[in-house]
Amino acid sequence: MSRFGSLPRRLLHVVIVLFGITLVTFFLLRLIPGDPALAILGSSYTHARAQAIDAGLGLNRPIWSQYGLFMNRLFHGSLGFSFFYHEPATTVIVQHIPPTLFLVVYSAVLAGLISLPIGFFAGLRSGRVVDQAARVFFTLSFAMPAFWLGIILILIFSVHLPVFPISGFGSGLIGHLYYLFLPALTIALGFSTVLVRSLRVATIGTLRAEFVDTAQMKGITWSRVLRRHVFRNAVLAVVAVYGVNLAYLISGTVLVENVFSLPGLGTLLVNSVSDRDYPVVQGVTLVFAVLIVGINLLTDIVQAALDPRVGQEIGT
Amino acid sequence: MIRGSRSRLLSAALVALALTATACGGSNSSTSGGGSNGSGTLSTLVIANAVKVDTLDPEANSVNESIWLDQNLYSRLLQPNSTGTGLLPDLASSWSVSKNGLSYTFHLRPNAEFSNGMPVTAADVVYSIQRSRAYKGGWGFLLTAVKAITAPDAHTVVITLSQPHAPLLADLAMYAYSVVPESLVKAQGAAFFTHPVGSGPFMVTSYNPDTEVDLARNPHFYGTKPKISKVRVLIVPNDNTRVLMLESKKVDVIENPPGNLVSQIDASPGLSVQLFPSTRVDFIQLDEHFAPFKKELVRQALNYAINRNAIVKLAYQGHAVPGSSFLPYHMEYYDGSIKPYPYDPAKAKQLLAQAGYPHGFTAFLITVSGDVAGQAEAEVVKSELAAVGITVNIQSYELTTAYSKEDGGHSEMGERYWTNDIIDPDEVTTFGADCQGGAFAFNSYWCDSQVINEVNQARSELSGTARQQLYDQIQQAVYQQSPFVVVDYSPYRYGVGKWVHGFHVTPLGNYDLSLETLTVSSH
Amino acid sequence: MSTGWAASPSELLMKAATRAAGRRRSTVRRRLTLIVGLALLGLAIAAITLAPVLVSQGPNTIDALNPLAPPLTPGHLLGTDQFGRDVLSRILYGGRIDLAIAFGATSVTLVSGTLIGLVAGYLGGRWDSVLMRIVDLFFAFPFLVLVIAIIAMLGPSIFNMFVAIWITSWVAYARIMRAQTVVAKRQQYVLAARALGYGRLRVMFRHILPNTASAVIVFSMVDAIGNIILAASLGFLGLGAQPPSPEWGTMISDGQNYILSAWWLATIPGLAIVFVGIAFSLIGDGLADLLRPGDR
Repeated sequence: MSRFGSLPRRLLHVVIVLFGITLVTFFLLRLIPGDPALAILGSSYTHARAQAIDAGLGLNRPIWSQYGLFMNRLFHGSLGFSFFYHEPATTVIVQHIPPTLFLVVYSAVLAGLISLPIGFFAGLRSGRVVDQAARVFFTLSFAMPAFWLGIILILIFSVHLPVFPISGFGSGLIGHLYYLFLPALTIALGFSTVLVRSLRVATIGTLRAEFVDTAQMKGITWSRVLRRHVFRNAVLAVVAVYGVNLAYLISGTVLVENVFSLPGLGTLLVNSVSDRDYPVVQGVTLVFAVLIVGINLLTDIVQAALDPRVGQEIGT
Repeated sequence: MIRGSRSRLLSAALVALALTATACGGSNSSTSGGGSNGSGTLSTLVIANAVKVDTLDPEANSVNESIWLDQNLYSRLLQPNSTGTGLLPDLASSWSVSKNGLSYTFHLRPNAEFSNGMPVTAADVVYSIQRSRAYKGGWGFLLTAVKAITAPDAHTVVITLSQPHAPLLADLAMYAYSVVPESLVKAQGAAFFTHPVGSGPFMVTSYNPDTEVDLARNPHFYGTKPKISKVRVLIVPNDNTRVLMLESKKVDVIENPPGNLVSQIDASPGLSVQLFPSTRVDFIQLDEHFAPFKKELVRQALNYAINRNAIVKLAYQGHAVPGSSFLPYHMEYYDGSIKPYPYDPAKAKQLLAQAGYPHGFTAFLITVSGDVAGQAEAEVVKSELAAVGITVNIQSYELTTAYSKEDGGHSEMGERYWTNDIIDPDEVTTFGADCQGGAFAFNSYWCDSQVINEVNQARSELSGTARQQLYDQIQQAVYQQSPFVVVDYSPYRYGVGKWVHGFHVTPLGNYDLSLETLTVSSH
Repeated sequence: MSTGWAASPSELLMKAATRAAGRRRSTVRRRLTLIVGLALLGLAIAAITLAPVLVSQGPNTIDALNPLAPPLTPGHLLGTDQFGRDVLSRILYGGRIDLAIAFGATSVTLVSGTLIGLVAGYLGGRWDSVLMRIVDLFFAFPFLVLVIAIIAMLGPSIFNMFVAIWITSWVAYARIMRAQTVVAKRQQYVLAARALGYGRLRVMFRHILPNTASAVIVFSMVDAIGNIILAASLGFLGLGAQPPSPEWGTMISDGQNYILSAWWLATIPGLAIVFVGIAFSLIGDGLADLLRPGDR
């Protein structure tokens, strides 16, 4: 069976899933009490003004007609017009992508930097002090809510020892790296817990595997065994975990962005739900879904590339 | 070598840390006060707002902070003065009213220009007003009495009415009727407002509605040339962050510091908390669909049962004024003779018994989650009403959801507030005292035909004395019958560095007038 | 155990021997993890149940004369909040809510998700296909968005948090159980059972389930922590338990407003979450070690 023979079928599933998401979001949104007119008019609300706003926003048409219009626009590449920002929803969303993207990548890299050496080392020296210390540390950070950890980090590193800024995105690459260090660390610590655990278990498991003994008996040097076989197989086992959690992490940035006041997609989502800005909420949800699905697909492909045995099972 | 790849990882980590460390050093310089005017004054003012900007299109603004911001960019025919009790000329240097009050003629100042050098013409004024009137769900309802708006020549605007309309000048001074250049708006549409051209003291140089909006002095401004050349408006939704930014002098002015940090800011050398009287009235909405609230005696009892001084102290750190009339504090036509209901739980119980509720009743109170002062107020109200036998169940919802639950006649009690958009009482009386005015008298569904007549009469009454009489009667009636419970008048609260001289916020919330004369010293 | 860097046959033998010895030693260590975890959880449950005995001031009793008292103030071990409410009291009573979520929400999703995954994996075919597409849909939907939307619709309350968790969290269990079932149904013992003529229901519940349950049980410990954190997150966003409820996340959210003047209001509830989280984590690790089928 070819390695990627089931890819087209997989892509079809992806499209169906995304379509399902737009449908669910669309109707779910309109079930939330309070409509855009209320959000816009606030204390100067009158039914007459509300009706006029509804007419202006196209909300007075039957719901199926609204959905049809939305999907039609979507096929032509438009997400509609933001009720709150009075700009195309696409523009608004695109403006908010950089902080979130930067944060996610930064967190993923930091998590990798933290967990790969520690997890591998802990697995190698399992049972020793290093391993125990790592386990304790990560048990602790796993149980911490990310938003709380963020608050604590701010208290320590921004308020009492003013090393890092409390909030914001900064400017320029160095600026971003500086401003986003605490938020990225917050996420990375939670993320690392799972990675370290998986990598450690995978390392131990691989160490005990038969083929390691075989390789050794054949006279291959230990360090080469470690590099070639143990490390590589351990990382393989972890790729799946990394991918799944990375997808989960994306929606988790909502809380961290809130704590650190980052103008990213998470903040946009929460604010837009408050503002009842339907087009933007629909757009952001779709972006998140695409990212998650994309990462899952990417993870599967990477796994397949690293290990031919896995590739045959992609379609199942 | 596995050792090698591990140490590569380690060195990568070290490099990352080193980068962040150097970035630390580089970014610690103060971000306020860029550029200097010499002699210890700075040319930039940095303000931190709590809420993001929605748009710079005056017809479509719904966020207060955005309104206050864009009033720096545009002019109107007239503008409110700094105490919010009168009007000043703006684009119109003079105006005259016909004897029957049905025709207003405005003479535009001849040298008014937009920030790109284009002259402001009467045609622009007509276009802007008509545009805003036509905006669906906008403020056109204020100008229903307007029959026609014409520009007989490039510097004259004539407005004719179908009936006398006393609030007209106040309506025209409203932010929604700011003047925009007709040719550019028609050409660029919605995109115009991401880089708008206006005739106000400042213009936009950079527009990021979620993070920062930068303004620069408008070289073509016809009025007093501002002493500062730049304004940076930062959007910082996190309360604590704003305070920390002020304390570290990264910003000059912050909006709305949280109540529990006011004493901390005041105690900081070089910082102060400034309170500005506002048009905000905090009240508790009562829905007459809930049986007990149909009775005037019950509503009055609530007024006697609530200790306004305690609420002011606990929820507003003593910074608010106990509420009496439902009109905003000391606005035009405010009846200063009305005093707040005294705190008298015994009288409250007596009134409840008289009304047929000797054992009280149970009601729910809707509050907004995240509203710290409101939550505190709710706790106080709950315990005070419990003392007279009324059990209050506090329900907390997200803002728009709370509004949806308070609308439509299914609520009981709800924490609400009102702010004026114009300096004339016509708006607040229409919304609050007239159950046919569109808001069902602040959702109380209280209808008093005499009051309704008075509200409509006052709108067309051009004589100041006669209007005062009518508004006095309306305020007395509302005070007496209490369709809602007026709790307090809360001021605008700003944290301001002492190196800023002349920052002033009008009762409508605008600070654009003060920016024309404000100075920033080095600090 | 770890090995040296050189390779020789004697070293290899030594390595094998050490591994065998380590296996025996680490059994005790494995059990230790489980025991410590259970002890911590037991401690938390005891404290929370005995709350009325341990603290005299109720969680919502306002004391306007004593606001923002720091920890170790006489009479208030953990201090008071802006209304003078005792923090320790609120922690203990709030723990009832969070632990109720940890147990109540998790157990329902554990059972429902496992059942669905078991049935789908065993029946295969169209059922399996449809079900897995639904699972994919749930997974692709940004989790927090879905929960926020559900809460926004139903209104924020503790019960609605349960509902939101029940609706969204069964999918993970379904996926795990289904994968386990698919593998299991090809195993010898299942084929034998079928050959012996046992009905499908019996095979599923009497044979497959007991042999595959360990994976979901271990996962449920992780999920329990996740649910507590989710409840806290919702409370933090204002969508969960509403003030004045002493739910820990709501306390952290309220406390955030006072972080510059009264840091303990936001810090202590978080520590409580961490404590309970560690307990569940150790239990999960202990169970995983215990139930892991052998070394190969």
